[in-house]
Amino acid sequence: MHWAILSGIEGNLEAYEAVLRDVHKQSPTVTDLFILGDLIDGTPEGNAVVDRIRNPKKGELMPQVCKGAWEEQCLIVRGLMAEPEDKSFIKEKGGNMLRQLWDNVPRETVQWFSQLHFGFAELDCLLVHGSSLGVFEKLTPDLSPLVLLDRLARTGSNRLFCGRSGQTFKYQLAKGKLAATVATLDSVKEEQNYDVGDRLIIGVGNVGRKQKEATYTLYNPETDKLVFRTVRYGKNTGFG
Amino acid sequence: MIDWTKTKIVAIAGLAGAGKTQWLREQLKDQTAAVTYFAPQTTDCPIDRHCLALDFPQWKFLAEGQELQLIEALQQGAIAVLELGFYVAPESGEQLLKTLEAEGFTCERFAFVSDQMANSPWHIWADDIIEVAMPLPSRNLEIWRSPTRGQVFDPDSLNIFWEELTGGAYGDIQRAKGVVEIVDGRAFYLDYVSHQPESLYRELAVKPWLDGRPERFSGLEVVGTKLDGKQIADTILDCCLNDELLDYYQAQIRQQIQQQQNKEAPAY
Amino acid sequence: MKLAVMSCIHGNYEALTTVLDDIETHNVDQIYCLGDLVGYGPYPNEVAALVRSLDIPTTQGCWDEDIVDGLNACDCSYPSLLAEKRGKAAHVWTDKIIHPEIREYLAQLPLVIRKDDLAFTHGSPQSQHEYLLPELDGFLALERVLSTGADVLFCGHTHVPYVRTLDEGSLRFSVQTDSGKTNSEQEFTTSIKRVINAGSVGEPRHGRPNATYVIYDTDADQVTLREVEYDYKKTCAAIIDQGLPKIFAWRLANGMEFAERADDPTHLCERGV
Repeated sequence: MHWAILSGIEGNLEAYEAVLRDVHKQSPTVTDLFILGDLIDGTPEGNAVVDRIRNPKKGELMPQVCKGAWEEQCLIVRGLMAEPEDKSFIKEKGGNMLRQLWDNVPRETVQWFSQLHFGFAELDCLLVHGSSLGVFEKLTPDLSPLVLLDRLARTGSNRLFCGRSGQTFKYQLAKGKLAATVATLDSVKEEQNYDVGDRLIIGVGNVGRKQKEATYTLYNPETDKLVFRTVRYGKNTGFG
Repeated sequence: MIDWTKTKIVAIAGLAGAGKTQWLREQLKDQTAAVTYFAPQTTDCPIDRHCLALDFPQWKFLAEGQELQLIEALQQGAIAVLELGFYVAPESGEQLLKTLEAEGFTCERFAFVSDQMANSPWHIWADDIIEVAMPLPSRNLEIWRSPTRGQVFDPDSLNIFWEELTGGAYGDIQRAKGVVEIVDGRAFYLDYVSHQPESLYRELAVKPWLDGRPERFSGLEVVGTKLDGKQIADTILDCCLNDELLDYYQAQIRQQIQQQQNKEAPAY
Repeated sequence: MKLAVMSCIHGNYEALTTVLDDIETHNVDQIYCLGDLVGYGPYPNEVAALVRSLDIPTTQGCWDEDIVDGLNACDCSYPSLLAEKRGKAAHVWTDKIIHPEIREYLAQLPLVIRKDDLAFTHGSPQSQHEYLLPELDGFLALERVLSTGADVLFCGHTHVPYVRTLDEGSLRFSVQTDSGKTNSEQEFTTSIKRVINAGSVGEPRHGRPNATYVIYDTDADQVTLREVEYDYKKTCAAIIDQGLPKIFAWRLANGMEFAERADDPTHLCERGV
């Protein structure tokens, strides 16, 4: 098993094509292609990306796609999902994008978005766009280790792959210890002991946001080997 | 022990929850002769009969009005079982039994009574008394019965309902039993007797029903006092899935089975 | 300073007045309430009006929120169909009977109250619907306390009181970013924290019909779990009089919650917790 995990194509077809080429030349061969959301960015260009993802060419892997912030926001705009309490996404992108999503995403695509999974639970790995709490939560390595552990532990997984931040990072919780006691009405004191070891939170990078440079992640669940790939594409013009 | 070289008809009667049907299973589990089961005054909610038919598919089951077939079966060498529910006066089966005895078929009458019971119509009726350690039944016992064919329970709701029912929320319960369908397609036999600490849950040997409403018997029977039948019936309906939910879950379960077969990784 | 903290009154006026009398006998300086003033029980207006008139700092519970915003809990937060039907029946009844000024009062209740090194919330700082059960993973419980910035977190919602002391914890971690370099291992440590669950005044679930709440002495750092008998038969009679489902009265008298609660503390649904 060899997984390629990408996120955040954001309507950049050229970047996606470049990553696909890189994925298909990997050795050992990539067996599963996961796309952790944000296929679109509200512009009409997103439609070509969605079309490309849904219709892989002969011999290409069929991508397994889950919802990102853009897809979920698109469903919210269409009244297919409730407004989130976390308004950070609208704040970041500006109110204008709601109109864009309404105008630029065809109804049939919205329908397809509504059928996407929230994430994938594969072996002891959880693959999501944001976090186990929702697509809008951005996990970054400067968060408290307890917050990261929480997002991982609440699903019972040992590896959490996420894409919202756009960063590539490997955050390893190496060892943790905690003792606790509980007293209730009917028991005096019960001792509890908790140990944590070897949990990973992985930022899988971003394909489309940065021009001419895409990042994504390769992972082998059997050997636990993790590789971050940077793909440079397009011709540099001038002396830049 | 029953001497099957002599006895051709076994008639049983007695208290609800005394273990009549279980006893019958024990007596007849290795029986090689054909068995015909006859229960007069049967109802539209024959729970025991349904479970016995699953355990002993080769038995023949007859109801009131089919007495002639019973005689024919005996003439062809079958053993007959006559089960009189606790709500049936023992003497009401006597005319039939006497007729059969006159035809030369030996009958043995067993009555299941409480060990605290000194005398009863069953004591007078029976050839053999089987005393069971159980309290005396209440006066004015009521029975609430309902077939639930086609209804499918949400198992968590069923657990709450059963806990409430046997805990006395809908009247003082002496006995409750039922055959229920749950959403994953399985059917269960449930059995509660007030003098035993725990309810019995037994999965029935039936094919999982994952395509629409099960077209097979299910039903509940509650025996006790001050029963609130309307509340019981309303709660049962609140525990069961509507068409939309049933379709949804059955489709999911079918898909899971398919995925397991295809060994695909689960997604949620 | 001596604090009394109570939660989950659920329209049970009889239980509330008995608990307030009990608090009176303990020379308490300040009372806090962790919400769920309404829902299931027969006197939602009276309970909320009394808490308001006594100026008791109160956080908003999930039932209070639902009465303000309309039923908003996701379906998967109901543990069973039966619990869902009963919860909805109770919601519809409460929604119909609630006075406009009580609805306004419930609407302005905060989700978290901070006072010195103490924090008060209904379910958890993350959600009014989250259950902080005593068996929740210790690190997750610690995360909830730390997210408030306090040392002691008071919560309710589970209806069973407890005191949980989280001793000094440590967590070693390392970060590798795209540069490929692994930063050296760092250690994260915390001092002793506490989660104190106030139980339930009006809808106990610890197996007896008695009301529960807690008293906390900030100077001695001492917690007392209080269990108070009250005339639950009065509440049961009122439930039936008001036309609420009869089964609520039976469950209350048996120390069971009106409708079963979901018991997955880290329940994951697509809407997030």
